[in-house]
Order: sequence, then structure tokens, then C-alpha cells
Amino acid sequence: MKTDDLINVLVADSTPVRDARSALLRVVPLAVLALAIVMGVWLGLRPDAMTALPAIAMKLSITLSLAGIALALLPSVVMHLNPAGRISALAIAPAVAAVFVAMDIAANGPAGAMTRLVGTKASHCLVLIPLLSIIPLAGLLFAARQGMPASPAGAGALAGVAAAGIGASFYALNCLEDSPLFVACWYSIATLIVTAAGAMLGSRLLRW
Amino acid sequence: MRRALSGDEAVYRQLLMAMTPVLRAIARRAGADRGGGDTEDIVQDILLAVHLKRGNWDQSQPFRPWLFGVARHKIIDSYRRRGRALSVPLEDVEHELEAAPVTTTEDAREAEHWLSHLGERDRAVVRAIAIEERSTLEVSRSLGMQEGAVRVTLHRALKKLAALAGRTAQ
Repeated sequence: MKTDDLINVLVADSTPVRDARSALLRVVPLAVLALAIVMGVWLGLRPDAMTALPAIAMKLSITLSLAGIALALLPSVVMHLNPAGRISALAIAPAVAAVFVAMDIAANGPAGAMTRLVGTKASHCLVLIPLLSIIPLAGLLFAARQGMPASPAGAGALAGVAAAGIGASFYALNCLEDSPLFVACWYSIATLIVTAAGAMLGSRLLRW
Repeated sequence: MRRALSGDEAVYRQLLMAMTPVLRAIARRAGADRGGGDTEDIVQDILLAVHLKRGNWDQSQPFRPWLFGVARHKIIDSYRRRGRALSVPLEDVEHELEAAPVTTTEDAREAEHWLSHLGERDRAVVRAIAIEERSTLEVSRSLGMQEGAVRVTLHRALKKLAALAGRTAQ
């Protein structure tokens, strides 16, 4: 095909112009809705949800800040070769976790900290958070294919962080481990697993 | 580009025609200096990317830096696929613009091998529009398809071409 012929084709292509931001904005509520349904039919809320509200709020403040910051950064990283925004803002979520950990140590003392950290359901957390992150990660990567990231793996990793934040927020509604030490340790490892998966998938799916 | 995005086909055609020799000069410079690649393939690759990704351009920003960014990404990508490291500083690209020749059609050579990777119907649609310069409406009549289906086929074929360009190391 000659280049002039290619231009004929490009001009004739009248499908609507798409951008990654609106694709991402569309996919997030869908993923959240899908996860809410999955939670409803599968895991459900923890039985003592009403009395455990402070613990749930503690966990959500960490996971939702991670999801929110990652989702706020994602459109620019996916759409622009020189993204605006600072990736370092993601550190706010672990900082929130660190505050809760410090409060826990101050209140309960270092004795027994190891027991609280190890908890009883670490394997649940490590399996369920990545599982719950599959839906948001798939949705975010699909939407991000409209984009043109400078670094496909980096954009995929950020999508992984956002997906883990969303997945962990739902998991927090079911999780019975209420120590900030547990959350800081195992939720983080689960997030890293999803982030690595996002980077790997992104380096393939988001190349352009 | 702003007017082209609002659906003005004539302006879009003009814009693509105007950027082609500039891209050709940039691509040739990048290739000639370092002994690599088919200029016209890279130019077409860049045009396809500009087309498919144009929705991501922030309209509050100037268009040229965006275009050069896409060109740079595609040129570096084409070298990477050949297994060679190359960095194209943006300043080089900016410089090149000033010295860009106005027309060079003699090397607008056939790249029929691209089309051969498409399915039969995709190829028929692309060829009719590309070479016979027919509209999607005319093509839909002659191929007995809905016009909407022709549009979708065309868009998908463009995405496939872009993916193919990214894969073939040639």
C-alpha cells in the first residue's frame, strides 16, 4: 500500500475518536459493580460487620487511598508520553498504613506483635486479593489499550496497583484479621503480586 | 488537528498529507545515519499510530510536540525490533522539521505485504477505499454489506495493520 493510499483509508475511517481517559472512566464503575455482585454471591460481608466497623474503616482507608491515587494517576500515564502527576503520591497509602501500625504498637505494645502480624488467615488474603483483582485489572488493561503509554510495563504495573486497591477494598469487607500489622504485611504482598502481574501483562498488551 | 478531530475530513486529509514528508524526512534521517530500515514502513507506522491514538492528544497542548513524540516512539520501536539500541533526542526531531523537504513521492513504494496479512474481506474493504478512493457508502453497496459494518471492518483492519507493523521485525 502506498502512503497516499493509507491516508485515504485513515480519512475514510469515521469510527468515533477514542481516548484512554474516557475508556478508563467507563470501565471503573463496571468493574466495581461486577465485584459487588461477586462479593454478594460468593464471599459476602463478614458476619460481625456492624461491630467491626472501626477495623473495616481502618482497612478501607488504606486500600481506598491506594486505589484512589492509582486511579487518579492512571489516565495520564496511559495517555501521554510525558505523564503529569507524581507516582510518588502512591506512597501515601503505605504511609496511612504506617500510622495505623504505629498506633497499634503504641496501644498494644511490641509484645505479641509477631502473632498479630502473622494472623491466622494470611493464605486467604494472598489468594483472595489477587483473585478479586482479576476483574478490575482486566477492565483497566482493556481500557488502557486505547492509550499510548511511554512505558507499557509501567502503565500495566500502575493498573495492577489500582486493581489491587479495588480488589483489597472488597476483600477488607470480608477479612476477619483486624490488626494493622496484618494488613501492612499481607495486603502489601498481595498488592505486589497483582502489580507484577499488571506489569507483565502490560508489557504485552499495552505496546503500541 | 483540532478541526480534524471535530470531523472535518478535508482538513484531516490535508494535515496527514502535510505531515507525511516531514515524517519521511525524520525517518530517513534516523535510518540513513544508522543504516537501518525501510523509511516508508516507518512513515506508515507513524501515520497509523497518529490516527489510532489521536484521541489521546490533549487539545489544550500544541500538536507538534505530540506528533514528534509519536514519531520518536515509533522510530525507536522499529530499531528495538531490529535488536539495536538507538536514542532519538527530541531536539534532533525538532531540527529536522526546519530542513524537511516539501515532496518526495518517488519512494512512496508499495507495501503490499501488509495487506496480504489481512483477511479477504478486510483486504477488499481497505483496497477499495485506499486505491479506488471510494467512500464507505459505495463500498458497502458493492460488497453487499451494511455501511456500519464497512466502517467497523475498516477500523479493525487499521488496528490489525498497526499490530502487524509492531510485530514484523523486517
